[in-house]
Amino acid sequence: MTVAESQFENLRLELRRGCLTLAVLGQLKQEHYGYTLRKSLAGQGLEIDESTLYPLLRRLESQGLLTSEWREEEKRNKRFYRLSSDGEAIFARLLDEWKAINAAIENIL
Amino acid sequence: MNAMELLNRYLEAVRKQLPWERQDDIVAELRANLEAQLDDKQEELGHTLTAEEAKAWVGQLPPPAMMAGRYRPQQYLIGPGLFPIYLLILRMVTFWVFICTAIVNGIRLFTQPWSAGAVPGAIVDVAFVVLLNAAIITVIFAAIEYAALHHPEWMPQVAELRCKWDLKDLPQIEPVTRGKKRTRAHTMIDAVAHTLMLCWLLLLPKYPVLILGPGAFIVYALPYTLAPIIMTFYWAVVALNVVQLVWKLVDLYTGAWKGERKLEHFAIKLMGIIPIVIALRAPRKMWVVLKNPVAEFAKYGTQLAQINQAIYIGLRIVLIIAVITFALEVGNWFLQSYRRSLKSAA
Repeated sequence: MTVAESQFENLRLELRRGCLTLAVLGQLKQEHYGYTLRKSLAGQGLEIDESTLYPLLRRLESQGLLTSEWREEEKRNKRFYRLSSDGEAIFARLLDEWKAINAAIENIL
Repeated sequence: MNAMELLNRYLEAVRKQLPWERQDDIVAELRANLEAQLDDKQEELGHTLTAEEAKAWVGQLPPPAMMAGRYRPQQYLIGPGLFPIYLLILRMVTFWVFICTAIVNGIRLFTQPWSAGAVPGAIVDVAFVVLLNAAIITVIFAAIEYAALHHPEWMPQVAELRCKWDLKDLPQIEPVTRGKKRTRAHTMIDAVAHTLMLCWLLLLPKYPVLILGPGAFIVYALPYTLAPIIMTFYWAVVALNVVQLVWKLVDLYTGAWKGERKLEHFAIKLMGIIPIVIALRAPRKMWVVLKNPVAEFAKYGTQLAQINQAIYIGLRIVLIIAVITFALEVGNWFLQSYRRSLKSAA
C-alpha cells in the first residue's frame, strides 16, 4: 500500500465511522439481530464488515443507546437489538447534525 | 472438513482472544449471526457447501484476531491488528523469563551462603527482570504500531496484518472430556490398585529388592545404611496412603466418587507435603549414616557428607516444587470458580 493509498484509507475509515453509527441507530428503530441488520444495511447500499458491525452493536449497547435481548427464532437463540429511549433522543440530535453538515458540504462543493 | 466444523474452529480462534468474562456471550452471538449467514449462503447455492466452498466462505470472514480485537477496549498504544500478537509474545516471553530467572535465583539461593534477605532479594530480582522484559516488549510493539500506522511503506507486512489470515492457523476443536463421568467400576479398580500399592509399600522394609531390584544386594555390601529418620518418613508415606485409601473406600460406600472431589484432592496434596517436611527435619541433616562409624569415618566421612548434602538440596527442591504446585492448583481453582460465578451471575 502506498502512502497516498494509506492516507486515503485512514481518511475514508474516519469518514465512514460516524456515518455507520448513524445508519445503525437509524436501522434499529426496528428490532434486528446482527445478521439481519447487516443484510438490511447492505440491501440499502451500506456494506459493513462483521468485525465492525457486531462489536459496534455491543459498544452502542454499553453506552445505553441500544437495548438487547436473547430470544429464540427459527430454533436458534439470537440477540435482538433495538434503539433505547436514550438512543432515540441521541439519534434525533445526531440526524439533525448530519443534515446540517450535509447541507454545508453541498453548499461548499 | 464441512462448513460447521470450520466455523467452530473459527469461533474457537476468536474465543481464545476475547476477554474471558465475555467469551461465551460474544461467541454465542457471533455463532448465531454466522450460522444465519451460512444458511443464507447455502440457500442461495441450493446445496450444502462443499469442502472447498466452506474454506472459501470461512476464509472471507475477518481474521479471528481482528474480530476479537474489536471487542476489546480500545488499545491506545497497540491496535487490534497487532494486539493479539503482542499479547502472545508478551505472555510467552514473560513466562520463560520468569522460569529462567526463577531457576537462576533458585540455584543462587542454594549455592551461596544463606542470609535472611536472600529470599526477598531473589523475589524482587525475578519481578524486576520480568517487568523490565514486559516493558521492553511493549515499547517495541508500540513503536511497530506507530510506524505501521504512519509509515505503512516501512512495514508492509505489519500493515497487511489487518486483512490477511490463514485457515490453517485455526485451532483444532478438542473433544470435551471435562464432563465425562467417572464410573463405579473405575473407582473400584482405583481402590484395588491402591490397596495393592499399599501392600507393596508395606513389604519394602523387609524386601528392599522390590524397589531396588538386584541393586539391593549391592546396597547390602555398601558401608552406608539409612538413618532412623528415613523410617519416620516411610511411615508418614504409609499413613498418607492409608488415609487416601480409606477416603476412596468411604467415597465408594457413600457414592461421593460421582462428585468433583476437589476438597479431597487438595487435602491429599497438602498432606503429601508432610512427609517431605518430616524428612527435612532429620537430626544433623543426616539421612544416610555409616554402618560402622568408628572404623569407617576416616575413609568414607567426606563421601557421606556429600551424599547427605545432595539429599538435603534435593529435599528442599522437592518441598519448594510441592508447595508451589499446591499454591498454583489452589489459586487456579479459586480463579476458575470466581470466573464461573461471574459468568453465571451475568
